[in-house]
Amino acid sequence: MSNSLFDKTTNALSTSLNMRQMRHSVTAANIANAETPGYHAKKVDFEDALARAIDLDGLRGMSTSSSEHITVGGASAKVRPEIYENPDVAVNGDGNTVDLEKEMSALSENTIMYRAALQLINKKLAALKYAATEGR
Amino acid sequence: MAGFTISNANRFVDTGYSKDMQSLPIDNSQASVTSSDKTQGSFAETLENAIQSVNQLQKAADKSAQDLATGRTDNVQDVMIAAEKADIALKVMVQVRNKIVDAYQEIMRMQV
Amino acid sequence: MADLLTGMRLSSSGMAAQRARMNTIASNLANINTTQTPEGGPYRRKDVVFTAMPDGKNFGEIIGSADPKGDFQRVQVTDVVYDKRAPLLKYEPDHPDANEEGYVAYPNINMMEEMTNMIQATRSYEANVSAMQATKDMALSALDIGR
Repeated sequence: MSNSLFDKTTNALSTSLNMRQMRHSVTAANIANAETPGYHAKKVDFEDALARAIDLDGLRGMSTSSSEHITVGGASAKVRPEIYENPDVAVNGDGNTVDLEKEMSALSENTIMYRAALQLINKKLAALKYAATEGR
Repeated sequence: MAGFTISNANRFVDTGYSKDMQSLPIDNSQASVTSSDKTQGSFAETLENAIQSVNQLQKAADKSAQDLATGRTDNVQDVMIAAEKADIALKVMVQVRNKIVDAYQEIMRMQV
Repeated sequence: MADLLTGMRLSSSGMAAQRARMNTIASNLANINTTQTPEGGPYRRKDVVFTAMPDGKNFGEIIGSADPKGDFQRVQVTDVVYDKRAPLLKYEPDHPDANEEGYVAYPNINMMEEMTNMIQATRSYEANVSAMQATKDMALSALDIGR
């Protein structure tokens, strides 16, 4: 029964939290390696995978016929992010492709979205709690 | 709050668009039709409309939250406002329901 | 598995690397006119070498990491190298360190170059500090779920 209390949106938001955390780590690694010769800046893409997982008629606990399929719903929605080297960055003299300003602004944006998702999850959980205690 | 009666409850949960007091489609006009059956029916309708509009707000908030999670929108403030609207609508409806239940119980307690 | 604390480790490795670089720059600037060292000869300019290494809590994890693309990499100072440039020779026959022809060997350190490197190191350090602040904020606000 507890599965049906938490809808697709809550799962989508919590999955996006995980993805944004991974993106945060990758960006932090890029910033730390901003001067390492030969280091290529990396990027994380999860938006498309997450959108597809949501649109797959997100009923909770849809069973998958093969392990390749993305399981939808539930706290462990297996959305696989893509981590790859950012192709469109200019190369510096020593083979390093990190653009520090871009990484910093990506970091800020990611933090803001992370906290927004966090607040939305909080709101939804608080609304459920409120309804469960009948507001008394 | 002037005019906040049970049959008027739905206008206070319709937070999606603003109405000024004059242009309010007062459901009282339906409820004041003499037959008591009709009063009963329109109360149920009122309640159902209220629930529907709360549901609409919740769905809209859900949709925009999903858009935020998948990065389809950057408009954080709109998402937050929609979520808050849905929240308030839910809270108002729960309180209205509490009042209705209390009123019913009070009536049932009356010894006739 | 990546979590927010991984981000803090990565940022702190960046800060440590920049700090090491700053130390060598300070050493270079301080010894810009040093003609004598315990090893003999003038002071030789030092520089740090950064390497990106896969991040892992212990050696086993580092060796066992199968997918280099999906890894987070922290930065490590793997070497401190001496500059290959020849020392500057100045003609000062009265200097106690002058060689037979009267030339004194000074370290080939360009102050402008060192200052530029210093500014760069500071900037990188501050960027890493910002990244760590952001990580800390995110982790702390995650603690507030449901409060």
